[in-house]
Amino acid sequence: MPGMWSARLVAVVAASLLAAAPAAAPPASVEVRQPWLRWLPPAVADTALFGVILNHGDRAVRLVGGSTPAAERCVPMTTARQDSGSASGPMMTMARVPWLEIPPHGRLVLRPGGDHLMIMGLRGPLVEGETVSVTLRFDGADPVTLRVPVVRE
Amino acid sequence: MRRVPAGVVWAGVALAVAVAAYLVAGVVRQRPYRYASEPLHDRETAADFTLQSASGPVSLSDFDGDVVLLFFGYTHCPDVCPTEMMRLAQIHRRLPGQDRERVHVLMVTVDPERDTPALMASYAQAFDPSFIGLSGTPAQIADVAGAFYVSYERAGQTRPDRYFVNHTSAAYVLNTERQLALIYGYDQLAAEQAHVARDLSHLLRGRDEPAGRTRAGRPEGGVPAAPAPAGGRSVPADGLPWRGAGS
Repeated sequence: MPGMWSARLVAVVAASLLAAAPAAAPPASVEVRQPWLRWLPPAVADTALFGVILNHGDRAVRLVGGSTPAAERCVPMTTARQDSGSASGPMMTMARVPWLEIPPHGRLVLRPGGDHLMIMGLRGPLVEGETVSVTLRFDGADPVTLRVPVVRE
Repeated sequence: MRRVPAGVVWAGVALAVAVAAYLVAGVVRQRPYRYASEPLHDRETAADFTLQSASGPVSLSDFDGDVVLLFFGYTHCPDVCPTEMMRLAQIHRRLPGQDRERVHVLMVTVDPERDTPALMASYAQAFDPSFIGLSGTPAQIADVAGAFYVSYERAGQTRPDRYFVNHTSAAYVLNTERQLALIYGYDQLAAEQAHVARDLSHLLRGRDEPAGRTRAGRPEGGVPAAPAPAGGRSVPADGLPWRGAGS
């Protein structure tokens, strides 16, 4: 009886998960303050999430990505500046990074022109003032789901 | 009543006249205007260019007599360009009404393969309805960017149509004579908006021309020019005081 077996399997897996859970260190507690998504012209398919992430734990936590029903992917990225050697200002470069680290009892500031979580492949234009559900995924902490306002700033 | 000696009276009058003259001189001799950004002393007349807007060709010389804020970016730019366009819109809104119509914000794409004139128009106008988005052939864009020493290069390409364009981020200000007068950095546009707006209004008035001063008074150039004295602006023999002062 396959049904019985799969029920048993689920029970076994659940039991082993429960048994394993206390062995692992409790996940660090992460707090996200003032998150916001940038409004962009409707023609643009990518935007970014900004805000401050606090790590209240004793170990470093890494922001590794996220998900939202509003877009295809959430990718940690960083905008950096390289000297261009000319009056045209520094070269602004954009790079994917595998993670953005939040030090123990420290903070990660996501802001325009710096570190941010890029929201790629929007399924529709964001409307100024609406709120969007975004789940942030961490290495070293549980995921955090937020209601994030869309701000024209 | 004791009479005041005539000498004392005259001394008082002389002192009053001297104080008045000093005050008048102080008002007449304008304080040097301080720009938010170090003004360019060798103001070069920017070469004219023509690119495509959604409603037809636009030339830089179309705006001669007004002030132009020129920015290079691209619509798929997820962070730097929207930040800068947002700042430019905020600065533009700070201008007094009559100046607003004479300060033109032009965004030139550094991604002509993806940014059509129509896309540039909808992008630029979403930040401010008066903003003008421009595109062109890759060769035309390279020419215009090169004239302003703008660097740009593709990066992080994952699919033929999915990539970033790293690019320099300065915004360029052309004065009423189409001379490159000021360059603002990314941070200045965020932190000094009121000052930048005053700069643009100041340039519209057409006063304070360090290039002419540099040329007339300091032929070697490159030295920060003193402000032009009131009413005492020297005009070179060719009668075109501020043209062609570039090195």
